[in-house]
Amino acid sequence: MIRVLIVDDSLFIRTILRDLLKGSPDIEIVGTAVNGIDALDKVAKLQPDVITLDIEMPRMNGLETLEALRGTNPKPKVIVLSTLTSRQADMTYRALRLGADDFMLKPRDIANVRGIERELVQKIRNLVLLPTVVKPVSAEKKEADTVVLVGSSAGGPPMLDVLLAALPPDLPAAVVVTQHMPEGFTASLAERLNRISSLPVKETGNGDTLRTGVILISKAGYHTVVSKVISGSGRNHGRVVHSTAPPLHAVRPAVDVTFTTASHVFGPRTISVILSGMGSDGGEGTLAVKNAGGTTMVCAEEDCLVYGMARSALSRECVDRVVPLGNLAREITRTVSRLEVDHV
Amino acid sequence: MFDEEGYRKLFVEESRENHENIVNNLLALESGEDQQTAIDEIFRSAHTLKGMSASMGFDAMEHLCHSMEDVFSLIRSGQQEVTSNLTDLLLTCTDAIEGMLDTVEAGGIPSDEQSQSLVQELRAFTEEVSRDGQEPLQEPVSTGPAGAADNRPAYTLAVTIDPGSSMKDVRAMLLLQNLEDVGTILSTTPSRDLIEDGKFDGSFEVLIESEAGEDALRTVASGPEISLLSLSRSSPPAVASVPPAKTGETAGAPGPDAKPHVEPQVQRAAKSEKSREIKNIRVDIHRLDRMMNLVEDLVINRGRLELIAKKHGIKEFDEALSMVGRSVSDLQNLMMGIRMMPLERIFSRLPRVVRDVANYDGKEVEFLIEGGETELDRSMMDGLSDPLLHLIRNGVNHGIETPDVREASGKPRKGLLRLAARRDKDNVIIDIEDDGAGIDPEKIRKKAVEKGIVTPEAATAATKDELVNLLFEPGFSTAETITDISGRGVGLDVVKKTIESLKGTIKVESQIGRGTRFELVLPPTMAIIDVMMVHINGMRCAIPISNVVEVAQARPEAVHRIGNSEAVLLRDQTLPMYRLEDMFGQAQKSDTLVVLQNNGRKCCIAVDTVDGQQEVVVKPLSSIAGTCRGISGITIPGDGDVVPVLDVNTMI
Repeated sequence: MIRVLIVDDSLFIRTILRDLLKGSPDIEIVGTAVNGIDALDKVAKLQPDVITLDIEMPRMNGLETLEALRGTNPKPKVIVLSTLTSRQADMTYRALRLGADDFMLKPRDIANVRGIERELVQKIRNLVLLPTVVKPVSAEKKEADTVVLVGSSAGGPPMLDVLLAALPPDLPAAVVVTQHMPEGFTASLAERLNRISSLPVKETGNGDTLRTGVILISKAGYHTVVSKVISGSGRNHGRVVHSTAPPLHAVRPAVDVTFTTASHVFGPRTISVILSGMGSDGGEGTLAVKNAGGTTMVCAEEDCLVYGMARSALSRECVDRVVPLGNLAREITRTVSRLEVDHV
Repeated sequence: MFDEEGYRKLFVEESRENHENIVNNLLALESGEDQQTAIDEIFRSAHTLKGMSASMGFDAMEHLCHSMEDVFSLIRSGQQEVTSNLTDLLLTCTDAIEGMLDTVEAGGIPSDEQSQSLVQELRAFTEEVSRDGQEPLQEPVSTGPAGAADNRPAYTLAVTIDPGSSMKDVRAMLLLQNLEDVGTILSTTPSRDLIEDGKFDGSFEVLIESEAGEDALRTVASGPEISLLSLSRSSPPAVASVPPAKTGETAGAPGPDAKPHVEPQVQRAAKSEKSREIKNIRVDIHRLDRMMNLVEDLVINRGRLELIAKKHGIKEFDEALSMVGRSVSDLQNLMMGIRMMPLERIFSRLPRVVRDVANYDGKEVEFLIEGGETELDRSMMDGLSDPLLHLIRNGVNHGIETPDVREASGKPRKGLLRLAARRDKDNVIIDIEDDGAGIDPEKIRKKAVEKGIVTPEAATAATKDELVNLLFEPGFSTAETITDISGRGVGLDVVKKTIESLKGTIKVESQIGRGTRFELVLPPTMAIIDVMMVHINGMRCAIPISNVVEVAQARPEAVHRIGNSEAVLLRDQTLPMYRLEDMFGQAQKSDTLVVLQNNGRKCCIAVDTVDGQQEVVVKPLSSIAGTCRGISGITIPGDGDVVPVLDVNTMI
């Protein structure tokens, strides 16, 4: 049983969170708190495993609470709940640096978005199940000649947790994750994923080289264009270019842009995966990967909150494999190593 | 699993608290009290409101709160001063939020009609700051894919390849390929063929159309053995029309883009005359209510003083008293005026409701609103909102037919729904009229009998008007299918009860095939009215003067018994006559009659004496006494007596 404490100054939000969680048999809401001071008191008394923490609260806000929580033992895992502003994006990132374990945007349009509770529940489970990885500081990695592309949207973040945590530390490929997310929040996402993946995870920067064993998260607000570079040794590799071209399918980054441009660079050595997501982004991209001779996968429907993006790829008849979430990491690793063998 | 109604209630309650908190702290801010606390409080409340409205999916409200939060974020960090202009704007925003909450409470979804321009204005403030500051805003999101393709910015890139490179042609080709990922190459010098064959001296120029931004182009055009000599915006070729010159400045605002440019000046002007007079203040409605109570007490005590003056007949005292009386009357009028609000406030959200219901039902409806400026006491406004909403829904849902049906019966496809408010003497009259199918009295007759609302005999005897008015009986609904829109368990009976609780009346007229018209008559204010004081069986009773037609003397031979009741023949008109013995006890037969009318129907009551006309304060019956049929409240005239006020409405 996962013991959860809900911390939020709004009764309305507390009620919603409680309702979202109460249907899960393995989660027990042990209490609620209305501000940081109250939260610290209840953490000591109730010993929750997980707390959901609001940032803006009277008397003691979320960041101050996180600082105060540092000394507690045992320390509960913390999910920061944030709303959609650039200021909050910044606060969220600071919260993660202060020891929060994950973050989530406050539930939107609860009446009309079905399955909204699944994301929160999955996040809480992941927090308890996935251990934090301590990585040795690794030497500069070499330019990658194989790329794994992941496209993801609504419902995707908890799936990324599972997928990236399971990728082996010696994966001989670069990984580029394009997750639809509001501007400012992808830094926090990278920070979160970096803690649970055995591979280093960072947000893309304009001009970043795709390197073996490094996971890049497309920075929100730009399209991640993968551009071809020939190194001094004459080998092909890829480089990230941040494009401000207009949003595609109303999103930026668009999965189609990343997939299509990366497949131009890596050709048959491109592996694409579509996770949960609304809309049709990713369909054209998957087709481009297929046409370039790459390997295309989509996650199985039962593991996805929304299947729009995967369906968009499936409808183009360009998907090689439909894989359950639990097997995705293994399937990717196997495909990558097969490419390695062919390469030699 | 989502109890939407429950959430809605919780949402409205908490939002109102936060809304109030914002208003109070805005006022505190203006009065210069503890600034930092007020700013923090407002920020937090706006933030909470935003989060909650997002959860409920109320986008319009979310955007508005978001913009307010942004402004306060700047104020908090000292980048924006609190000017009276800004306070005015923010107060207008809180009004809009309040309106939205009212909509939500009534079961609707707030629209962005009013809020959109407010959001623009708020943005003007935040954008001014970011323009003054070092960092320009993120480049605006393009206005749309349609125009974008034709108006893409063009750049000229001059590139050179390391003379030592062994693969000049490959490098160049790769560069061109990469550029094609981020834009469209319009031309190269020398030509592309020559470059790809390596027939160039190491440098070349590329004219490219791209939206990827300069940084992206710079990144693409640099790399091993390649360097970018120059990158410049160039005017696009003749094909493309006007270049989007002001990309950085228009900031994506499709609306009146002159505004952000004007605003700064206005604001600076305001800054310079800080000590400007405050023209408007905001007062909590509860404080107004308390003031109103005090004014009512004054009116009561004035009556008392008048009595004393009469008793002692002191001339000087009389004069002074009449002066006081005038002031009290003026004060009372002023107070009532302050509490008045234009009906616009509740009318404004109805077009949206009509549209939604019409869309849902696949009907075409033209909705006319007239007399939105008519004012009504604020306390009645709240109660009126739900019944109106219901009647409007009904009008579209049950009244107006589908376009095909209308066409078949020779009407225009588009139905007409008219909502009109007007003032008639002291009353406010609201008409809701549709040109739909009308109400079929036969259908009602059948249904009323089926439902056991009337006996078959009574139903047969009932007139058309009486039948139509059966619609207001509890448990009556003519909708054949229960839809999402009407049929929410609230019937016309509830509408009638609500209107009556406001001391108003409702009636309906309908003609088959021609349409239906509901008429609401509302008294201007519930608190102070003119009454006629009468004695019945030695007891005093007040009758609202608006119900009194005349006082008449009845000759005994004009009174006739018809069955169990009495009727009186008055100037060729037969009026039912009541003696109100249930209320006041058996009385001596008297021949003074007061003729009453309500809703165009008349009756008369027998009274001992008529004492005169007086302005009184009507107080509601306390909850202990409960509602008492026939009595709308009590009043305390000057002598301290407690006198019931007749509710004529229930007698006729």
